[in-house]
Amino acid sequence: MSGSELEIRGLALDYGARRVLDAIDLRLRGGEMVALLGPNGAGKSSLLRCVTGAARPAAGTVLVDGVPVDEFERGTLARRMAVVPGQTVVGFPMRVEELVALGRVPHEHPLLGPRGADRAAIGAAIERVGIGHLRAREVRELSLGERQLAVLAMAVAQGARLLLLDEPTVHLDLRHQVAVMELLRDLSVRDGVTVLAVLHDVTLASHFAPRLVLLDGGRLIADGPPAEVLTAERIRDVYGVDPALVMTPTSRVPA
Amino acid sequence: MNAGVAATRPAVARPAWLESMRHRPLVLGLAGLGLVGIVFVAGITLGNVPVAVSDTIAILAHRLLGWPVEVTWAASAETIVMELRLPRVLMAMTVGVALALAGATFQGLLRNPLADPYVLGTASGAALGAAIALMLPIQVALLGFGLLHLFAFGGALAAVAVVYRLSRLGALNSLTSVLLTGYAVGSLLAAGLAMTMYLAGSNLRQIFFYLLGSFSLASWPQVAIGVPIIALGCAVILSRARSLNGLLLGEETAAHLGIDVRRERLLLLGAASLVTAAAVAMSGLIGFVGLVVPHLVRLVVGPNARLLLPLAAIYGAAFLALADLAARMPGELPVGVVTAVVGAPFFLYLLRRFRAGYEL
Repeated sequence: MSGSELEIRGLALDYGARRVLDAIDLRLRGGEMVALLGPNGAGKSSLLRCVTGAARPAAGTVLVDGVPVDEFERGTLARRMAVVPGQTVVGFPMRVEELVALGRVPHEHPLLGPRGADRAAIGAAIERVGIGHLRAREVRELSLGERQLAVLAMAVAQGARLLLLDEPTVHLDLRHQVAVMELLRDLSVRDGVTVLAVLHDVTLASHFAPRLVLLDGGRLIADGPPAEVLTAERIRDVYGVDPALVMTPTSRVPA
Repeated sequence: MNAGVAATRPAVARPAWLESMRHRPLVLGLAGLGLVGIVFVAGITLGNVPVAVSDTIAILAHRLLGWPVEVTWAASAETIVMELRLPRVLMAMTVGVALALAGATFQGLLRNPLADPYVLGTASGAALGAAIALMLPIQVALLGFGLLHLFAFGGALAAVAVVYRLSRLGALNSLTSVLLTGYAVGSLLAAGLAMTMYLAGSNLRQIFFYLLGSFSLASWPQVAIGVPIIALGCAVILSRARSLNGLLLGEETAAHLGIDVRRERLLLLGAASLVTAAAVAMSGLIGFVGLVVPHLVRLVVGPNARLLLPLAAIYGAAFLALADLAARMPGELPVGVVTAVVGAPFFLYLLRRFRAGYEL
């Protein structure tokens, strides 16, 4: 199975009278991994919300495998596209394996519940993300890093061909940041899952994602490999900081 | 809701038997059904006029299953069993199922562990409806059904409908809005109830009796009308287990999991309100069953609605029939008092024992 294609054409989004996204064109091939960068308020999360269908664009279309997202049957879309929020609030005490099992909700039989294939997918996702030792732990007792891995395992169990993530490394320590990014790269390279991740950490993004998309003020201002996108000028213009503070690919320490 | 960063205390280690039960939901279910059976027979056998267990079983086998059992019991025993105790036990069990499932549904839907079947104003609506019915000069009664049941049922449903309409129009986040609107409408209705009671005069005792909840007036016509309504609502709830699971992580995540959140919320709210209204109309306000039973089951098997719902239904039936038995042994106490006296301290003990802290 190959990754889903994602195409965004002439997208615009308004919050009230304010235009938060304008004229966004973006295309992800199947299995590609793209990091979405930009300062606070640039419109990164809004763009993601347009793709998931949580926000209704004022203009333009979002196509998954050539079909507009709002024309998908809900279940079909959920089997094709998984979404990982930056934070997940767990309302009731639940264990890691119970959380991961929720990823099978779009697949399981509405009345009979999960079948053998679902249970196999849950086990495989737990192994894949490397959290087998946390299986029976309460989610609320985990560190934020471990919890984020559990949520990722849930998305993996969902078996989607397109993975959207909103700041999946926020609040995580360096080790867990790297673990999450390595997993995403692995999903893209080995499994051919298409990955679109909103990231704040420019260094992390340029290290792991072969393609960066930079948003500023609701517009897409750069799209390409890290070295082309993260020029000293752009970092000064977009983020308003001294470029020397940001380790760009040229200054990257050997991994 | 404050996400994520809340400091979590490590839970007290769960006892081994509890841990092993978590992986044996079938054993729990069968044990629960066994308990229901025992409580069923006990509820028919025990009372002011004791009927021997052998007679009870023989009468039930004779009358319900049509077995050719030789009649060796007094006719009065048969009347007590068939006309008084059997409908009473069945009603208590049905209401127990209704309240436990409605509680589990409201808790899941509102993602609030303190939610119970009455959270959206059903209790106040039913109480006000019943009080008004008792105040009216006309008394229509047909086969044990009166204006009281009709008004209580209608009042409960009307209260939820008002809460739902108002909260959808509110600008707040939908969940908070629903809860706050429920509280506000409930308070308004409670004021109406207080006023009605103030004016009630000689009817006050009747209203008070209704508010505390009881199965002493259970009859076959009540069973015949109440059970199908509650069964219908419960069937809807049980068939939505997948949606309740999808909603465990919030409405946005539920949508990403392919759940039609708007439709499922309306279906579940409607079904849970329907069974609550029917339960309240039959037996008055019985607290703590809908709050405690789902929590107890969740403590043992976790939040998976596919296990939680059927087990809560089974144990809800057993618990309320047992509470009713306890209520009528010393004479005739209101069953709502028994469930509160037993339920509240037990719940507090469990919270302390397992530190089932919630993220809100």
